Amino acid sequence: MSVIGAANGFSVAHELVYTLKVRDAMQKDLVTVTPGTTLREVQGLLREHRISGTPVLENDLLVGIVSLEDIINALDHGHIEESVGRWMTREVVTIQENMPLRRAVEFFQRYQYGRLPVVDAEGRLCGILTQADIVVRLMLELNRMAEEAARRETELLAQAGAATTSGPAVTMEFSVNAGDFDNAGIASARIKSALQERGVDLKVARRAAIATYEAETNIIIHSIGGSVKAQIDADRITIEAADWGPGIEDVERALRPGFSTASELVRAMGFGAGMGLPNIQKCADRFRIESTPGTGTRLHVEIDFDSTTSDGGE
Amino acid sequence: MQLREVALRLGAEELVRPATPDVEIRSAAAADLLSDILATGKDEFVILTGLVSPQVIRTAQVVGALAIFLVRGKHPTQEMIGLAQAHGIPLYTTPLALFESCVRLAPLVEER
Ligand SMILES: Nc1ncnc2c1ncn2[C@@H]1O[C@H](COP(=O)(O)OP(=O)(O)O)[C@@H](O)[C@H]1O
Ligand SMILES: [Mg+2]
Repeated sequence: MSVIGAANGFSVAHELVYTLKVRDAMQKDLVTVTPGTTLREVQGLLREHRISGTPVLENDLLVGIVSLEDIINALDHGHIEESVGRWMTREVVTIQENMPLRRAVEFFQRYQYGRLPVVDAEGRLCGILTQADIVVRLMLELNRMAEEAARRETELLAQAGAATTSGPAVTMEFSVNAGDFDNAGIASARIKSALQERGVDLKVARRAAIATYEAETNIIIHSIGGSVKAQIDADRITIEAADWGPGIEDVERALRPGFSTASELVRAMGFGAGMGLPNIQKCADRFRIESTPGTGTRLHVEIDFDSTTSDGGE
Repeated sequence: MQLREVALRLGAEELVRPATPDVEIRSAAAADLLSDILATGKDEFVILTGLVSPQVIRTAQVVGALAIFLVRGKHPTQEMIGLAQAHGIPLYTTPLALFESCVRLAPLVEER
């Protein structure tokens, strides 16, 4: 099956054909006939249900399969009024319902059948599987995975950084864990939307978000853990990012554009350009960094709502 | 240049549909490092990147990028697709390499 077999980029689908079972993809509403059914009746059934073949059962046992091809032959050779028993295919290749879908894909590649009857552990017919069923199931599963991720993200954004209001000031606090790349950017997304909700200029909100994101990722990558706090006042936002260590030995060197101690692994994830602290400085109207080896690092960033500082420019 | 035209020029496949395909794109940030994207300082721009990571989506959200194009035919994970949907950021994949993509989008700059 080319959708699965040929595509290199389709690694998720590849994984799925191993984890999903035949029963997850098969059709369970079965149209079946008996050996006594006439081929004419089968023709009607196939048309009515828009299918291209159907299993033949005798006393609940699978004894054969009859397909559109058999019907065409019958029309050609004039035995369309005869019963299925005489013309059906008797050697039926079946597949067990608890097999991984990968096995079904192999079956379809090996035999040229359009559909496979599915049997349970006792050999009783319990479904039917076509290549299209597999594709549909994979697509549904892929969609489900994306929807699940979208739902989780929306939830994260809604829950993170419970805000407390005191007078005109709003404070938000986020704990940031070492190595927790999955949650990098949650604090900055929350802070950005909080600022936008307040009607703060989009460029100012963006600078606050960039500074927060870089501060978050530094705690995740370089520290043993810490927190990000944001206080939104009437005229400015103050961001404090603090961690419990290991601290920075040479702060001046750390501030140099391009300086990074990030590992190859972290770099492969897109971090570690050595531009984090410079980016934060560029976004800030006021910036302070204090670091004591063994104790931790503390960043203090203030951005005024009426400021005209820009966050970039090449 | 409208977003739909950018996608057309890059021969890109749409993975997360834009709410406004006719949104005006004036620039692009091409980089494989997140900090480089964050430092772009551009507006009304798209991200071109070879980096496949959910962090690309969060970065796009932070800088307000209008769309993300993965280059070299790279496919995102389902998690990335979900995140892009959650943040409402259109996501595409183009078979072109990063440099090739930039060349095709050069008119973005010339038209200004
Ligand atoms: N919170 C921190 N704790 C310890 N070291 C840090 C911290 N933040 C930054 N550093 C050090 O400063 C360097 C430069 O940081 P940054 O400019 O953000 O670049 P990058 O994170 O890409 O390496 C880091 O590589 C790291 O050595
Ligand atoms: Mg950094």
